[in-house]
Amino acid sequence: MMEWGVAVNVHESYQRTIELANQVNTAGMSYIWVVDFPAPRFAPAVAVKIASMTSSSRIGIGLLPSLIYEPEYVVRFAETLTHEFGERFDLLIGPGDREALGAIGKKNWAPGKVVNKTVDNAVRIRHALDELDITCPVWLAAQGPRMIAESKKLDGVLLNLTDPTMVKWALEILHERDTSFRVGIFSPTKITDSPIDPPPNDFLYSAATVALGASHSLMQEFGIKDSIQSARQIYSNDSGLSPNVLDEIGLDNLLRWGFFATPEGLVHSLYQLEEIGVDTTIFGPPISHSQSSINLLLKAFKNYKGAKD
Amino acid sequence: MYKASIGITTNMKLDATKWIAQKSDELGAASIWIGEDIGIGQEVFSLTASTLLHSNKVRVGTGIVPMSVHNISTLARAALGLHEIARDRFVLGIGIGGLQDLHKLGINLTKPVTALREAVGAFRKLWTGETVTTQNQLFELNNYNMRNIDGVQIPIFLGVRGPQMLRLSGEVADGVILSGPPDYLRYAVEEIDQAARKANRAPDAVEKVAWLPTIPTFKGGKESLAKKVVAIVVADMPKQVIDKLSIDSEKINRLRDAVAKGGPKAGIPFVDREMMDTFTISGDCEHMVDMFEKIAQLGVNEVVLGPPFSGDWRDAMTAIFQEIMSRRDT
Repeated sequence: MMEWGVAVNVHESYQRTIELANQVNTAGMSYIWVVDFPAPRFAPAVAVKIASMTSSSRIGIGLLPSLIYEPEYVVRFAETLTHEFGERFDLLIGPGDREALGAIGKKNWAPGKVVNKTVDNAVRIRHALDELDITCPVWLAAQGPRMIAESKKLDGVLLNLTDPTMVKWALEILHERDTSFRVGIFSPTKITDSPIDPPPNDFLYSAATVALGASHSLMQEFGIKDSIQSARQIYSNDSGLSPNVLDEIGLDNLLRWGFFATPEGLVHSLYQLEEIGVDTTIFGPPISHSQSSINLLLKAFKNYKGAKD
Repeated sequence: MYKASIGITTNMKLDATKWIAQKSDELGAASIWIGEDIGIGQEVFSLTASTLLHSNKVRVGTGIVPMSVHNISTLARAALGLHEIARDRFVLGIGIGGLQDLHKLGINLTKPVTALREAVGAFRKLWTGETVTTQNQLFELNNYNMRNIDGVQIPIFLGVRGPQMLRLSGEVADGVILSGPPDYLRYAVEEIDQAARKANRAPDAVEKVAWLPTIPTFKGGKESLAKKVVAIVVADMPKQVIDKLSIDSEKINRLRDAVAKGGPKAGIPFVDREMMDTFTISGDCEHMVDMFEKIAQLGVNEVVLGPPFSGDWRDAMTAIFQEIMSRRDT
């Protein structure tokens, strides 16, 4: 059975984060995923609060950018959290959002070096936790082929992909993997009552954010290089996401980067993904902002669980 | 009336820090201050969150986290989350970090006062949702903002020592965490108050917290530990602080020489009662509370009972707070 989780601590209020975490835990989902930078609240502190009021869901922490956090520091908060609340935590290590990191003075972005540092940090964290005899799975956030391949050194990979053909491509890069290795996806999500709803802007902007970060190989493989590169140029000219960026990527393409679906449609998509080897789905923004969308997600989860049981 | 608080550090075990958090309200502690031992023990913000969740009324502050080992955005984001968890019980205590730490990180900080002043300004702007661009030797922000936050005010305390830093605290801080002998504390409070007045602030707008090594020599606590701590403190104390002390400089030099040659243990025979009362708050319960009161008379608002904890320190801590409270009742 696929593990479901919801990303919290995105840009919603603290109170909303706590409400969401409670709902996810009560529904019996596998993960409350507490995102970190550039979210306005430091994830481990929020994770302490969530761990103190929940018991069943696991708590994912991250993405923790390797340019901000040294491995020793990550190990220390994993240790602190685990000692207090038990082995309920997972860590997600990745390079992080290049532009957001630039805003806090982290500009050392030679791509190869960042990949090396990220993988190296993640592996060091994993080993240090092993030495402390702490079970705390370490995931690598990945989209490009090198990071995907390197993720086999860790406990799992969280792909910034949703489209089944793209996910399949990523899984082919992984090739054979240990049975304990987890494959997850982190997807912009909006669940709607009606399949004919046009996708709202909050969903499209979230999907566009992910699309703009597409790796070179992925763009080549799926023939989206021209549109994404030109959208990046517009993004740069417009100093951020704009309707022009969305137009350039195109609606059909944007829909490949997240779930905009009815509860039934979502479950259908997840069955497809499960079949090709996805173990975990973390539903990302904008879903955390909308209670109606969360309610529909919970309904989808109930149906999915019911069918599996 | 002064406030009595408890100090803990990240290097303490979870069961100890948890006990303190859970007992703090019952003991009557005004605050719990959490010092970050760089690279050692529990992670400071997770420990702070946990301390807040295990207590109900006590104020909880970092005391202090060195800015040099964290990105400023991490400090700003951690403070925001802790402020919301705390419902107004959280205080961000920051300092620059020790010179050795800065060297290790390759930071050549020639203008620490400017860096700390800019940090305080940046935090306050970020917490009201402003976009900040600034660059100094310690940090850099380029059009950074914390996105969609409601404006919040989080008290900022500075852990400082030198004269310029003391004056900076008087100008911009909500509070200051001081450490040093009584003669130094008297001087520091005067400097801060004077700077506050110059900046058109009321001197009492800047809270003064004194955190000295506190070593009970009852309930299993040993005088030899107190003496060893004095030896360590004196050996590391900057000349600018030593020069302000009324204590015989010959005695100080003999102790420093002994520690330099043979380590802290070798300094123990050179530590007398005067030195213990100058550099620590140690002794039996009544003597320690007498010392708390003396320090409060120097213009300090809050005195911290902190590590090293030894012997049956839980009982000793309870006895000290009971003594403080009973004196207030009478």
